[in-house]
Amino acid sequence: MITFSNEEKNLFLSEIKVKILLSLLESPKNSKELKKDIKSSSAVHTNLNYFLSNNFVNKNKRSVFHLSSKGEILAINLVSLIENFYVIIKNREFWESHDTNAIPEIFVNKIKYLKNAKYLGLNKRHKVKNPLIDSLYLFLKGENFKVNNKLCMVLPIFSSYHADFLRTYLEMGGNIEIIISEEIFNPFTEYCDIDVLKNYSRNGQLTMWELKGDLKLNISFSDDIFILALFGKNGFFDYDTVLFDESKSAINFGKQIFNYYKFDSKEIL
Amino acid sequence: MENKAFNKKEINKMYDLVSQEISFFTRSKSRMLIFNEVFNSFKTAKEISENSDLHFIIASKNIKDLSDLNFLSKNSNKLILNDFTRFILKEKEIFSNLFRIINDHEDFFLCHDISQIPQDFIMDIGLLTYPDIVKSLNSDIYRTKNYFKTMLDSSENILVIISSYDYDYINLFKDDSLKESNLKMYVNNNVLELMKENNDIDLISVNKNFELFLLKSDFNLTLVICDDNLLLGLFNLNGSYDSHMNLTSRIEDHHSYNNYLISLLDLYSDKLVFDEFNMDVLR
Repeated sequence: MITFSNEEKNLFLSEIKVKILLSLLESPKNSKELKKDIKSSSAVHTNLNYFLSNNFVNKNKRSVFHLSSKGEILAINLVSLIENFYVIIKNREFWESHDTNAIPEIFVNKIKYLKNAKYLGLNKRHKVKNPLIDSLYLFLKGENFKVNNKLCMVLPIFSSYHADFLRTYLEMGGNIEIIISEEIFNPFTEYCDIDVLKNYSRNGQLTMWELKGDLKLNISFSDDIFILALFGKNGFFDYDTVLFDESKSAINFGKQIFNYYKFDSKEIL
Repeated sequence: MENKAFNKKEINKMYDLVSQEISFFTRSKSRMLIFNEVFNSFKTAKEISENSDLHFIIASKNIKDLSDLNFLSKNSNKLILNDFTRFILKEKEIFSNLFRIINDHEDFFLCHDISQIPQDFIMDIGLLTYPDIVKSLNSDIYRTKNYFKTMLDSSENILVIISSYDYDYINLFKDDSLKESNLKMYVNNNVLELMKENNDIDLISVNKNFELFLLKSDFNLTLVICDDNLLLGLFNLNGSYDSHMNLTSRIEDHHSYNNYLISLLDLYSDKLVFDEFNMDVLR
């Protein structure tokens, strides 16, 4: 059920209200500092009075305004909403053309951690033929690849592209932790040779989990790179467009999703 | 004091880019009524207008605007929300829920300090459903403790973050009825030392499914998840823990929530391993 509230409407009708909350989240200010900070003097007092009367803001004896605990919670969540909207609008083409239901509901308000993500799509001019696989091979290049560098992956589909890449990664001495959907265990282990995989597992280079149930999301991350790929609207897995991010926050987001799935998975190798 | 973790300049820039979209999804009641009508099922403009009590002209104009902006999908003359719009509305709804919760329970939030709570936890307040307050009363000073005990008694999976040591509360985890429960406990250094001093770890670890984690930094909160029930306790503004007022809530998909919380806490804690003979913490 989508809800409507006049208070929420009022908050976003006036940009000044939002700017006041952001300014006070940064630091307490008196009204002169506040006017200067938000570059407006016209409606600051009216809006401050709204926040004071609704207990979002307190005023101390020296006439300095600061957020109450309630106001701070609102402001922190406001920042989160702005960042989440920013991530959606910035990469609208990506989200619009993929099955976003694949993202577990509990992580929907955490996509702000992808605010630095770049949208990589097919680009013949720049010779990008397969954005997902090309991005994966970046794990092996330059400073990004170190022996013992761990690559974690959640893999919902079997493809020779992924399997070949993972084999190369292992051959180069890399470590892999991978969660695969139950359905792809057989084709995956046949293609890669189960005995070879067992050897990698025995020498500590490979850990594999199997997840029962619905899995529609592909993430890959190491200490340096995070990649998100999803199924397209046509129901086919999309190799042609990915979100690529090198920020710490995206990598932590990846870790959280990986651990979230790991909790329900069974270790098989 | 300046909040150094917060980059206001960057957020202001982002806000300038998305303020119109946020406003679009929050300012119109008619639009919300239409969203609800077509959230999961195809409907004609006439059906939308009739079910939502919107005048047909108003409904049609809004439907046209939403279609022009690609927020609705069309199948012959029937409309439905597309996944992208649903995705945006999920974001908006978490914020709306948060707004409602802090207004409905402002007494709880106004008298507590939230400065030592990681932002991820503050962002998750909007995920709570049917929150309520449990308060000790003059006539029943053990009301919060009894509520806590009842929550524990009936639970299979318990996850608890404890930032303030209270012998009475810790003792509840030694109860025989919890022997079979899956118990994950996250504590800070202070609580760990006091638990060792009072031999709590020996007694709680009678439970074979007990796992203890050390938080890397101080969280000033108590959070207890017992199956689909949640209890949140905070510190007073004077720095003492408030054991007399808690926020409680149901968790709709508690399995997912538990998995999520554990995955989040993985980033903030280390699992402790014990010497099985004398229960010393090895690491």
